[in-house]
Amino acid sequence: MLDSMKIADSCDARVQKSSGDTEQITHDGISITGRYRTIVKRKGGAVEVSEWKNTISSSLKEIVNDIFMSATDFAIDTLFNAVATPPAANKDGIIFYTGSNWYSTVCSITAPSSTSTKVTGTFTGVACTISDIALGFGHPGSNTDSFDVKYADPTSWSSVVLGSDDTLIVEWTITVS
Amino acid sequence: MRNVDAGVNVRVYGEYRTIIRRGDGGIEVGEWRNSIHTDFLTALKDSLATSQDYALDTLFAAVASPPTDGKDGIIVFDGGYWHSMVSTLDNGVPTYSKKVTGVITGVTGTFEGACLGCGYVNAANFDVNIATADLDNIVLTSSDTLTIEWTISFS
Repeated sequence: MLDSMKIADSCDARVQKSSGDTEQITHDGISITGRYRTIVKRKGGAVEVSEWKNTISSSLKEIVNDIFMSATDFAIDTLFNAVATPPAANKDGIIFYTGSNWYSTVCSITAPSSTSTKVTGTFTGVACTISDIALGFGHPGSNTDSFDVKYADPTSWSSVVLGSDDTLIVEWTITVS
Repeated sequence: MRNVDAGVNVRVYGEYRTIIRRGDGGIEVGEWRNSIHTDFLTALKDSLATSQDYALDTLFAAVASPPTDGKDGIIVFDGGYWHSMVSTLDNGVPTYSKKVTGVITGVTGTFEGACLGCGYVNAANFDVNIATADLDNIVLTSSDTLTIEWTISFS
């Protein structure tokens, strides 16, 4: 996982002007960024909300690097649909770690803006401490946080203690801008 | 609790090199930053939710004006017409990059713009315009050759 890098200073920046085409040109570069929100709904009705930035995985960079070579599928479109350990094979979305087991969450996906995609994972019914999470495409179905293409990890994570009647929701937003 | 200042991202950017080989043996080289097109931003975003195909795998094989519909690669504009360049695709340098090379020769004109894209449609439009470049009014005679080495990097 690498920090973003600027173009070499030896290259002059040039502003695109009309050259016969009429479409708007607005970017000399684009970035893939992400952040996630945690929402804990306690049995008694209390709600705790936190928001964090993530770390985009190098495996997402690797797959994006190959998109010009051949048609490449890394879409999060076969979503986990149950809280289960290990997560179901070949499914996509958000997984939680309890310190010993990786669980899938019930996932959904939306597009909150023209440049962003939000994956929501909901976890309930298990008394545990969530010590890590991950977002990715194509889980192998074993007790691991590996994916065919991992999208992102938390940049930092504060453990969340859950009772069996509590619910933890993670809203993970990836933005291309 | 809020911690949104940290984080590591992926950045996509592009640059291109122009190499002019004159009929008399002279060589002129320039290196420039491109403009990533909004089409590519949209396609990349859409890839997160639905599988997309914008591979550069049907490349222009000849210099032609107009360029051949449905083909991929680099086209250049002479102020009146767009011309396809003979295009190839390679792994670039650094590791996370791809280089598209376009070559045009045998054409007389003053070239002021270039576009890299997937699936040529017409009049400088691709199904997915990836990046555009503002050429510095490069004057070519029929014995000159213009090569554009266009690198898109992911860091």
